[in-house]
Amino acid sequence: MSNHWTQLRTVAVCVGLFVLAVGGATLVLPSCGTSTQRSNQQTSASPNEQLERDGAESPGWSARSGSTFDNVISVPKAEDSGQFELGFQQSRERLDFSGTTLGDEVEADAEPEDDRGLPWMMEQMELAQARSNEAGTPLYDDDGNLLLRPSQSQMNVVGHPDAFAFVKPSRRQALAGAHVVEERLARDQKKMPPTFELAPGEELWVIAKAGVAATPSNDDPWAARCGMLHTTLPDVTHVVPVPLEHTAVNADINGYIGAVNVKQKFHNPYSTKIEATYVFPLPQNAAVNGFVMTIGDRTIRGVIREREEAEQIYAQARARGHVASLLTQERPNIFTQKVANIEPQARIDVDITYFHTLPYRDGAYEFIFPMVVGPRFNPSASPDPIIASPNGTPNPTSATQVNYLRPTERSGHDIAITVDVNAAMPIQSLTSRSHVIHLDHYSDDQATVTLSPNDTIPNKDFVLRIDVAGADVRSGLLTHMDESGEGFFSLMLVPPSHQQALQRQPLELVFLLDCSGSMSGKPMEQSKAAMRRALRSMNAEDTFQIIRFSADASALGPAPIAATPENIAQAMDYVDRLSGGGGTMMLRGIEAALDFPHDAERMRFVVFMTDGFIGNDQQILGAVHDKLGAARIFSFGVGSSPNRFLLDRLAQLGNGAVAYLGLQDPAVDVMDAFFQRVAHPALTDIALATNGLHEVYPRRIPDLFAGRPVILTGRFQGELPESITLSARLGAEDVTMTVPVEQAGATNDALATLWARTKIADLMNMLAWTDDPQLPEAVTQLALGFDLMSKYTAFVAVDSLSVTEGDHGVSVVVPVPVPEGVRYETTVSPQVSR
Amino acid sequence: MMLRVLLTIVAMTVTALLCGAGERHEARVAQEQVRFVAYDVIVDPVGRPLGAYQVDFAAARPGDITIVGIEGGEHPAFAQPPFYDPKALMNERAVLAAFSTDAALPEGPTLVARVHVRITGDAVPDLTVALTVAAGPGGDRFETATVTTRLAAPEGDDS
Repeated sequence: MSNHWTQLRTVAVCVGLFVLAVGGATLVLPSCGTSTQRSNQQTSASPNEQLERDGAESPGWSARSGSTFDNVISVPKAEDSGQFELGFQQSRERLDFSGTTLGDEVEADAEPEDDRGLPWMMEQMELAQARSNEAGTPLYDDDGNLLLRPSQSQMNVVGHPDAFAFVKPSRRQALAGAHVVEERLARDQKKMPPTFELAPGEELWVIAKAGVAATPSNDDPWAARCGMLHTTLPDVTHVVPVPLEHTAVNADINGYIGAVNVKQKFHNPYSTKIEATYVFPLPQNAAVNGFVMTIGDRTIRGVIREREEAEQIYAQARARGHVASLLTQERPNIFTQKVANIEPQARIDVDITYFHTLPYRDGAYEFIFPMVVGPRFNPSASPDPIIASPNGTPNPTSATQVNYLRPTERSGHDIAITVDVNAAMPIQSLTSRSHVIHLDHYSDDQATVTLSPNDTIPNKDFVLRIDVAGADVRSGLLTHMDESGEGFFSLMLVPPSHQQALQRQPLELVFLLDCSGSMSGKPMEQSKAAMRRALRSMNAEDTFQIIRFSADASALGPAPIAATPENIAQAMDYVDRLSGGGGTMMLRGIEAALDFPHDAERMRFVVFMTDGFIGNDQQILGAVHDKLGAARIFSFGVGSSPNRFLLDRLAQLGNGAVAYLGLQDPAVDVMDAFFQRVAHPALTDIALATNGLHEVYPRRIPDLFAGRPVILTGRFQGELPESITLSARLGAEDVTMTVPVEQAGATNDALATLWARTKIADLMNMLAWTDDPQLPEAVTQLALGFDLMSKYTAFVAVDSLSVTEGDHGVSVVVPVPVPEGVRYETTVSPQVSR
Repeated sequence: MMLRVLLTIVAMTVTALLCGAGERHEARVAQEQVRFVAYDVIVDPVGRPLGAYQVDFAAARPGDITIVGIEGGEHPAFAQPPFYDPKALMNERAVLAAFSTDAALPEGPTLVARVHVRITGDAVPDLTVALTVAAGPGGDRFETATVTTRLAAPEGDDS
């Protein structure tokens, strides 16, 4: 990460905090080195390691009673430099906090020497939360105090990923009217490099999360200067003009179904006519069924065509000077947008709409919007590669190519996200560890969430957790009847409660770790932290194995290893020595894990940790299908923008479950949730026992694990009974489940689209291991009939009324940043062999 | 010997030139055989406020046209492009439908949509357009409403 302003998108969840004094500043951070020397002693430790040393069981938001936050960072105000230099000093304050997110329940036990300190701050936080529910609420109160909102004028604190800072305006500014500071910071952020300094009367406030050591990481050169606050971009030397100016995402979530509109605003900043090409991600289960191009005040709806025909139409229109756009699908989660004949300074908007179902994981629905395609490794002879190239690299081939900004470059492309949530059940909390969010409206079951305007660089997945853990989530079936009398349903199947009463049998755990170049740095540290937790969590009767792969694959030992303390200690050493580098020969890793001699006494669980940055997805899925046997695969997507298509599909094919470990996620929690899942036997052999339901997808109903419902979709004709019945096996026991049927309603018309999309996914799955020539044709006809994107269909729109002059112009690929936490030099640079 | 070599070179050059010319000719023909135009779809509710419509737009001879975009109309109530039936589109028919809840609805002949098409060949396509239904804001069907289509004027052409 070269751009420290990009780090303004902090996790923004707070527990500790402090106030700056006039003329200087004081920053309280837990467990940070009290001097530069101490800081240096800790440079090899990650936050999670530090937690483990401290004996903490969880790095989340749980209280750590008695913790002493004894390190205070003084922030002298630099008069002219526009930068802050931070040092350390001992604090006399003892602070101890716990809580969840800003605005949620926060407890404080503090004795600040300033009587306007912590209690006042907490009061303000509650006040801010209360007022943020009201439209048009001023940012500041009558006394000029900032009403705290988690992203106003916010900055990241380098070396402290779980802290953020913001500016409290002076009384004069506050009285003058709210947005003075935000506007100045927003303006300064656009300078190259951006600068920042406090104005007279302003104060800098920093909020830090308790329980996470502010320990520098080896990966971040800035982090070695523990506690520094940077407001400059030392690495960025120039801004790259790009034809994609802005992306606006508007999502409506009803229950577990999301309807999303993505507006891409193209603008030609050059003096000649161009064609813009943009490779971008969407959720892997997105049913893309709308495409609209807007030129000035004219709006043209694109039409679905067979891909080859759409590409031909686009090429012909482009050659004849018409403004045209084409949307193609390269992977279920990777798309290419082309817009032809954009004249100088012209603006063209493209709107893409899709439906999708939200996954429910461990008490929360997750709304995910991916923002960038990670750089993929393509083994030789990959039939359909995704090429990662430096910005400016021409693409003479027909292969999909993503051009990445260099660490010294940034672009002006930004993103805005608004999510309207109607959970249809009480919401316990709405949180995002990936981004800073605003809650603009909030009631028991409804809320509007927006992305902070200071967190708009599209370089990582936006993940919003809608926590309904307190609600009684039950199985349910939604239906829809179309005009022709054809019925569609969506069934959410929740594991029965008595599943948790049964205990698991001894396990054989095979840990498969991606140690390729794209994993080096923060993703690798997260992966290792999860591994360490897993090793500590095994039972004495379990066995295990660790297999790492990059350009090759190797294992800790030749046979299953007993989970004895000595063996676990040896495994810990092995994990500590692992590092990321080289290519991603995932196939070798998969083969090593699935061909590994089986422990006949135990059920084999393959725990697969990877970012999934490979181009040969289908080859990997085919290998899993062929070699799986009796094993189950639990995939863990590591990093800020993992390949969720591959990871979801691996778990689905592997009869397991998927989990994601973001850079800000506590690895301990994620691994604990895994052991909670496998601590009870899965519900297997699930079958629908009610007549009249047909074409149910996925064709093979996944096994049910504790805390992990599955969603099925299918068709029916005629009237459905009030409930439907399913049969299954739980251990050695036959069980039946009854699910109530919701009456068909007009609001469920997305179900037909979602059914068709799920069927397409099922058919495409089969292509990983069969070459049935009828499958592509079946997918094509289904996609055309339901107006859906697929590998074999595409949306095209042509404005036939206007003809631009001259040649069709230069093709410009929209460059994108590498995902946060991913190193450009180990993934993109052509001289590095991956 | 020299003459034979010379003749061979000349023959190869002529062949190459002819082939190149052929390819260029084919490319030019491919370009010339395709053009993009748009057709306006005009619904006349005959003096009553138009709240909804459904129109069936098609070519009499399949293969004459390929629909490449559907644009909204001129009246603000129908400015957004209408939705189409994807199954009909597979047969190059545009079954278009839209409704409006605006307070101000058109009562006279109104351009409600524009269909952008690719025409292959020089022939002028024989188009058919039929009004499936036109209705008022309350859903009352208009028995006397009509629909027509015409070639849309290119941008900047005021004639």
